[in-house]
Amino acid sequence: MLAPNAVLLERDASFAAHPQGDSTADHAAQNGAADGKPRHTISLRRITRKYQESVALDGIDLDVREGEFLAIVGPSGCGKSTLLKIIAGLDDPTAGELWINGRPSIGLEPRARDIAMVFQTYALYPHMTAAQNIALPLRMRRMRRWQRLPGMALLSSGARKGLAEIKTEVSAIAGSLGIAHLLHRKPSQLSGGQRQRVAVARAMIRRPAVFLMDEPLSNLDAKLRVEMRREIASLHRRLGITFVYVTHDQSEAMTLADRVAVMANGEFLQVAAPRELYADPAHLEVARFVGTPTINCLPAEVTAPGTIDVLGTSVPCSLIAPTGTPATACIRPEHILVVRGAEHGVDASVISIEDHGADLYVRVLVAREHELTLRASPADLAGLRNGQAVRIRLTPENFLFFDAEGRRIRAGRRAAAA
Amino acid sequence: MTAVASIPLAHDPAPSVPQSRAALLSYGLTAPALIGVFVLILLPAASVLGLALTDWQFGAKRLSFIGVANFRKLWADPVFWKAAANTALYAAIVIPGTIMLGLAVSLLIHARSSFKSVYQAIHFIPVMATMAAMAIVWESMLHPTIGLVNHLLSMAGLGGRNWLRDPAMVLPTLAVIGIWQQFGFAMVLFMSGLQSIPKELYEAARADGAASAFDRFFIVTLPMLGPVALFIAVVTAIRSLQVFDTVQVLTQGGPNGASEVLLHRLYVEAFGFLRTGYGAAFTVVFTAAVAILTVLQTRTLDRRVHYA
Repeated sequence: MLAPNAVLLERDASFAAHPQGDSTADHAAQNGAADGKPRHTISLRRITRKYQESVALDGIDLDVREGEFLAIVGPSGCGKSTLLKIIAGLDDPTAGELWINGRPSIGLEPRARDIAMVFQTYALYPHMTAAQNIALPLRMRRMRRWQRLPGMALLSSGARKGLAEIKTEVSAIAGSLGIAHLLHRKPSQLSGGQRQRVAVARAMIRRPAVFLMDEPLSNLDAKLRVEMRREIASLHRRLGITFVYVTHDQSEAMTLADRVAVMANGEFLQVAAPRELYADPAHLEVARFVGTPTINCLPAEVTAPGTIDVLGTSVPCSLIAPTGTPATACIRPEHILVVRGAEHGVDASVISIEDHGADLYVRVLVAREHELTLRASPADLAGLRNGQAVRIRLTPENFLFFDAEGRRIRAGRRAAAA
Repeated sequence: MTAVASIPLAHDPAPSVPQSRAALLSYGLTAPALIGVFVLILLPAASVLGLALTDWQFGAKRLSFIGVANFRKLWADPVFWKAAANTALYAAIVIPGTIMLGLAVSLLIHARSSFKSVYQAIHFIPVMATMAAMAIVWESMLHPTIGLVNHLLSMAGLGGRNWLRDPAMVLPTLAVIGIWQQFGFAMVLFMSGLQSIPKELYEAARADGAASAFDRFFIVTLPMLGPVALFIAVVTAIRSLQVFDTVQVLTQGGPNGASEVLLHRLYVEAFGFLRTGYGAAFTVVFTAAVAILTVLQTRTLDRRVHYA
């Protein structure tokens, strides 16, 4: 009973809008390591967050495995930061259940949740030095309120001993992040990247079970962002703890995460590994969100069983959908080829050419109204000019079809009745 | 910007206005402001300094230069020292009182979600009110037999006092009025300070383990209000060292000098006894003291509250 349920949840996380039965009752058992399934550090069931008028989160289900790097990605306002705050305990859901390390955690203070968080703005205390910032979580946990009063180190040997231990740990963490020489500085005297490291150190020092990051790189310049991205990846490998990482940048999510949850309008559209998101998106929005340059989308219509009409030509495919079903046909830029000679293809004219070094992104106009982007190596397209007439081939087996609601129409499966 | 500035512009030949004319023009344009500063600030200040070295009495036909005699007299004047001590005590009550009450009220209003500006406006009324007129209201409230304060105290079973005639009570009473007058100003500034604290800092503090609002107040709110508090402290200090109108209307420095303060003494010397030269010396000393205290206060606190 339990195992199939767990498997179901695992697989159906990508269709999270439809929660599977009453999975909460047997959750505790499912979460145990005894059944050989991977342990879940975080489990969300039907998490809903409503504000007066709007719904920020609409029945979110999610399991994050122990040690997993999960990225939550989506456009701004999709509810991803709200979700992170609910996991952190900085916001409470209107309804739903949440387990962290197997403990029901709704209503628990962040302090009791074994989490740490890195904020988009870093949220360092400007009046404290880097060392004091990093030490604060330990001071709050290990020392009593009276011991934290200024000057208590002079009066109490307990406070003195506590502070000395904390100082040692702060130095160790700072050393491992390469900021040991900056510990005496105030945040205003640090660069963006250095502040980021201090914020990470402050989150790390308590050795939490879960590391929550809310757009930690979006305040950095492009070069530093790539560098810090690499550091976050290595930090995850080193610590081996669970990361939940919120970002609006799909390339960050794709490069860092074990699994990516794509969010829109308070719901998950798909939760899957980066490769799967790219190659096998469950929703039109996912297909559009993932990949650079953006996937090409064309209007299409099912003209007869087994054929779908794209750009006036019939593409044979194994779709089973009623004739007349409107659809969207999408194709990745690398699956559009420029053909030479008498080969069969679609006529197009070149609008613009972007040279990205290893790749060219070529925008072409097809049938006077559809702009497509194709990606090819400069060697293949040597001598191509703006305005030039070319013939292109859209490889039919690489088309992805979506119905009018944006849901994927899969080969061999009946599409939802339109 | 710099790149643009360094490119010589096509229409940039020799300046159309010769150097001397340009200089003349700039002097001409700054002249009104310079004259204003000279006539309204420097000249009166210089004449006060000059008068302080004379024995001039207001309306007298002659005056003679007497050097620093006025300052010596002031140094030896027990009433001056009494007034200085009273002013210091007054400020020592009013400054922390104003800051603490202003902070408390602003925190309460800030925590509300509605009617914030209404509450703010109500608490700001004493700041806008004419103190001389308000002092009369206070006088009637503090009246030993018919005053509201003593009535309330007797209803609570406590004995009233003659607030303004009791040498032990008069200065603290005036200080309370001073706090009442000034805390609205502090409250408004604290409100703006509270609004500028980033929400993430409170969230970070919670994530770092500061579970109680009390802890977060000391980790985030209080330090973040430091710069505002410094400004309020300096302004409140200057204003409480200059306390005058309540003293003039309510006590005239009495009973028996118990509420004599520097500015009131200065007024009495210069305009009551018409000892203008002596009053000028008083003014010089008073102004210098306020300036030195303000600079000291700013210097010492500035290092502790500005984090940039």
